[in-house]
Amino acid sequence: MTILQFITSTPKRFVYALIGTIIATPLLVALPHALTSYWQSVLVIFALNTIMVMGYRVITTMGGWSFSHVATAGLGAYTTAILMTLETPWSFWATLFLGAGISGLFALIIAYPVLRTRHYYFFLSTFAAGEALRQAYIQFKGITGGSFGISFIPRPEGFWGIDFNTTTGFYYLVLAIALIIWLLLYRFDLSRVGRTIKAVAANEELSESIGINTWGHRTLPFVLGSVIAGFAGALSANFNGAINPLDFGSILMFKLVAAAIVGGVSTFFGPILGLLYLTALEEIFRAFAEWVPLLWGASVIAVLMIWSGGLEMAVLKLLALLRPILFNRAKNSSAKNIG
Amino acid sequence: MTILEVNNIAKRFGKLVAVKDISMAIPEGQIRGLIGPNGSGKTTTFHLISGFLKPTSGEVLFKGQPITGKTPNRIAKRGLVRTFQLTSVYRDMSVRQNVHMGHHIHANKKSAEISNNTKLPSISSIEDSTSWILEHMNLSEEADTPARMLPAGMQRVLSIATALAVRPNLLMLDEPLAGLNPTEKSNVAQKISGLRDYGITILLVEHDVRSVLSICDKITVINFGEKIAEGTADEITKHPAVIEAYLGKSEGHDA
Ligand SMILES: Nc1ncnc2c1ncn2[C@@H]1O[C@H](COP(=O)(O)OP(=O)(O)OP(=O)(O)O)[C@@H](O)[C@H]1O
Ligand SMILES: [Mg+2]
Repeated sequence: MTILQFITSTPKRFVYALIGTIIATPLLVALPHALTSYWQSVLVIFALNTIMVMGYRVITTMGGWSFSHVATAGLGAYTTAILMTLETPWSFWATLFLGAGISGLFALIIAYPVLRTRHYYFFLSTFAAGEALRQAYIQFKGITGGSFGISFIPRPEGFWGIDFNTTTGFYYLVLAIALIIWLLLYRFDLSRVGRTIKAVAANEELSESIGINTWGHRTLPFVLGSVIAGFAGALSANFNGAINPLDFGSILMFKLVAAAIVGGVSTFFGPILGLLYLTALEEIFRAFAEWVPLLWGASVIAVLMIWSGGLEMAVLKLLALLRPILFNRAKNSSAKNIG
Repeated sequence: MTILEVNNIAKRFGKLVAVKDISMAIPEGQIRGLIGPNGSGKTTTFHLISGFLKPTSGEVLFKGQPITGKTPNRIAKRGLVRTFQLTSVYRDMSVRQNVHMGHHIHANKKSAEISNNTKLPSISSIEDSTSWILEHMNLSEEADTPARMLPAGMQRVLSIATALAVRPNLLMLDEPLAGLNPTEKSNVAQKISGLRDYGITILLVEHDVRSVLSICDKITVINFGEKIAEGTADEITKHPAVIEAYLGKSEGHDA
């Protein structure tokens, strides 16, 4: 494919997204300077979780709600943690990509048994796979540090005058990777393969009968989403400087699933909206931290029972309402032309 | 030339023998009927041929090549496409998007293993081919309607249209006339028999015996998973085993 072909075949929505991203980037870059150091940390964690949730949404496009996503991200984290704390430490960039690759490889290996299951069974089998992985983090003490995990994980060397040891500096690293992933995944979502994945999710039998390799179109998003999780895991290990098996447990997993439900998964930005909502709840009720999961749970139930479609549907409906107002003039003039 | 050859296929589900022993050979260009009472194993036979089920024994040859045990998508890429007894469409896609999706294997030249010797209009673009199929199947007016909003009969027609988009050499239809009103029935039956002109061989399962007798060149009758007769409409209607199977002259009733 030549560059010209790629540009002309690029969906309009992607071009808009690209323009929006370019406009938003300076704001996102300026954002930490308006925040206290506490909120800067919140921002980094939010950006890390955004990467997680974007990866999670890729998996949901094939129709399955995985519960092994966070444990899989742990592979990325442990890869970075182990290799960067060796006597002759690896470079951060090598461990970042290796970690993401290992997360993807794990997904590819468990795809065979796990993708044979559907619905609740998929949920349960991925849960089992995730727990097995987490047990491995605890049991292989020699390399993972057991329940204590690994500490003193260094951050990468800075460049272009950015010091990754500061929260703001590290935020720029996460932001850059998050924006690249967002653009790539959004383009992927709009691609023919992305559409085919959703067709397979909508009707697997029919898809297979018209010659679509349904197995491949279920495996691909599962592996791709896990690779993204690996990136997020590796970055979070660097950010926190220490990891232990509890970091990859069910609370974070629940947060991602809740973000996907509350935000909705039919659009790309749904889960990110959901994550924003959950993070806002978490910060507003920081004084009652132990109640926060309960509030998340209540939000999930509310969306499932009374407000199906989640926040994304609310936004889409709002946009649909605004459209005639925003484009009124254009419509009128074209009507005149016809008249 | 024989396009499909089925040799002694059988399928057991635990103790139940759904298909006991079925063989048939379909020459290219024929419209073949496959009939039998409820539960006689027609749909199971479809699954076995199209790869959705693996036979317990026996083999299936398509264009002279064994396809037993291959996945349905690989079989479809070779030019054998089937529809489902329970209407299967992409409910949330428009009619046009459904047919567009049917072209999947033609969107990427590498994945299409069939040289496409159907006489369907050659596709310069998938959009054109989609429009042609919609027109041909009388679905143009509903092109932008979501499939789930169509009446049941039209959804059936859409599922045939989607299958056509694959440009199959052999099209297997599982009760395409079920749920259609008499006018629709005769229209669709006419369309099906017209597909012969495009070089498409057809294997048709249908309970509407009148339609089967009128459009099929040859009919295979099965009962209890076994072939009991095969021949032209005239031969079949006179065949004692067929009459017995359909009129239910069973020992149970005599007693
Ligand atoms: N997956 C399955 N598991 C167990 N039994 C099955 C399965 N599929 C079909 N059967 C049984 O196999 C037999 C043949 O079923 P099949 O659906 O092939 O019949 P059919 O000729 O298509 O019937 P109909 O005219 O009602 O569509 C039936 O007794 C059915 O109950
Ligand atoms: Mg049947």
